[in-house]
Amino acid sequence: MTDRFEELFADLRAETLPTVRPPGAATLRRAARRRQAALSSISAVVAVLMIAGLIGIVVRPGGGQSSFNQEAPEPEHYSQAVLAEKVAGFLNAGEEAMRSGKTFTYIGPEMVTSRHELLGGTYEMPVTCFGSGDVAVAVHTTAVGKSPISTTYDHPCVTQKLTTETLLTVPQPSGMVSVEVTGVGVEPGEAAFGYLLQLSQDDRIRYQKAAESVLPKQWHTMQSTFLDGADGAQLPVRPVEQVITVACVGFGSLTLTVGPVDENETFADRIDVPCTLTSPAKWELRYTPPGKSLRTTITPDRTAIGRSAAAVSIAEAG
Amino acid sequence: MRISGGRVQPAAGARRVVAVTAIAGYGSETLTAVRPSFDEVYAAHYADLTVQLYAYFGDRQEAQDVVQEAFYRALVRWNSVAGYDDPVAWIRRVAWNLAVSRWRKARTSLSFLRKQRRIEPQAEGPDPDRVALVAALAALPAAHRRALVLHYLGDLPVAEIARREGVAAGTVKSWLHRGRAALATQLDLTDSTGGA
Repeated sequence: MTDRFEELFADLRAETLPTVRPPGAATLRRAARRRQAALSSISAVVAVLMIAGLIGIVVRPGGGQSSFNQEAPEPEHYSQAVLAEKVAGFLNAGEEAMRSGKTFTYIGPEMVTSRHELLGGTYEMPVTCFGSGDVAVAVHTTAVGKSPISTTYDHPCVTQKLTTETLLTVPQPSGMVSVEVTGVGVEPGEAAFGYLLQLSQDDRIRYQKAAESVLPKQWHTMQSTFLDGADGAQLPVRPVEQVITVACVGFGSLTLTVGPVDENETFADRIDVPCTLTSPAKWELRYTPPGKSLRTTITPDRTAIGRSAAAVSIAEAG
Repeated sequence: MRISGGRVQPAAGARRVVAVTAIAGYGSETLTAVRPSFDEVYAAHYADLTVQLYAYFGDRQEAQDVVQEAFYRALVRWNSVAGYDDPVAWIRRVAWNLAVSRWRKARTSLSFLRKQRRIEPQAEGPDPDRVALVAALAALPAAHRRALVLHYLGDLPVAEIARREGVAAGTVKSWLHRGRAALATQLDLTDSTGGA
């Protein structure tokens, strides 16, 4: 039967091929020259469509001046440091987020692909491009065993702040998001592209509650947090043995430290906790504070940042 | 080490040859890298890629729009694309990315070539029997259809389709199996050997 299918498709190819007449390459070149010449006006049209919300994208122009009225016969070249700083500024992102390299691309004519394994949920994805030219963006979201859902659009690279926001849904419990970026008429050093993937507040709370649900029902104090970075708290307790329980939902791992509230911020004990997507476990530390308070600090590893939630409870032993 | 190089400007349709001479120590060696010209690749692969996309869309116009957009994107960055190990794979990837994009139809850029095509000679479509195959393909889920087309028309092995789709090889095998079974039913193909 397999041979029969090969035969069927071979026949389709053999009979269809002679009927396909491509426009000459010269025609394609002429059209390409016209399109390149029209790039600036296309950018303007795209901007208007975006502002009108006609293609489901919201543009937040900053700086107050139009970005599309400039003529740039010779694209300017920038150092990588300048490009990184500009893109981080456009996204209101810290240098740490940009340094991760996953959300920042020095674009050129080649396609650059970044992949992210993310928690399921809705993500806001602000994107920006600093410099000159345009960038073709393709975002593919894939759940295990499913076909990818893809979105493609062009984004202008400009020197005034221009951020485009899209919403992205990652299937439960987790999915792979790949972002493909290709400069259109852009040479290396002329532009840089950046984006952030920010889980919605509702989903963050959902994951925090999932972590909380693992903890013991009896507690004196409980805190939960979505792990965007290190987080700590000073908590009033009696100077008796305390049981500190922690759970983490998501990717990577975290380190919980516990110690007295003092100027040196020393810790008395620590525990490394793996984060898991399903069936998270609870982990325990026991500590007797010297005074009427104790300090806990949660430090996620790099793979947990932005992709995990943790909860900590404190109860007196016995 | 010193490296010197020279380029031969190609005539339209000619192969571009980049000769690089590397001089190291007392000896010298000339390395010749042959880069395909855009015209060559366009002429050799446009129709084949269009047939693949036609089988996927069931619509020749749509297939040609996507293939032309993919070749346009290759043309404007040909200096880079020509240096890839497999420039055709890059073009095919762009074409399929465009094909699965929800935003493809919103792209204004595609229409400019459609206007050009009005003056191109138009040919008859395939035999009605082949149209039946295309119609049967159209009834399949998109992933099954893509797998069949890439496998049988794109000649891609299962592993490469799996990489492209971001799924396990077993998933692609399942898509192919189910796709073949559905086609066999729709086209009323009898199976004397057992199993589609």
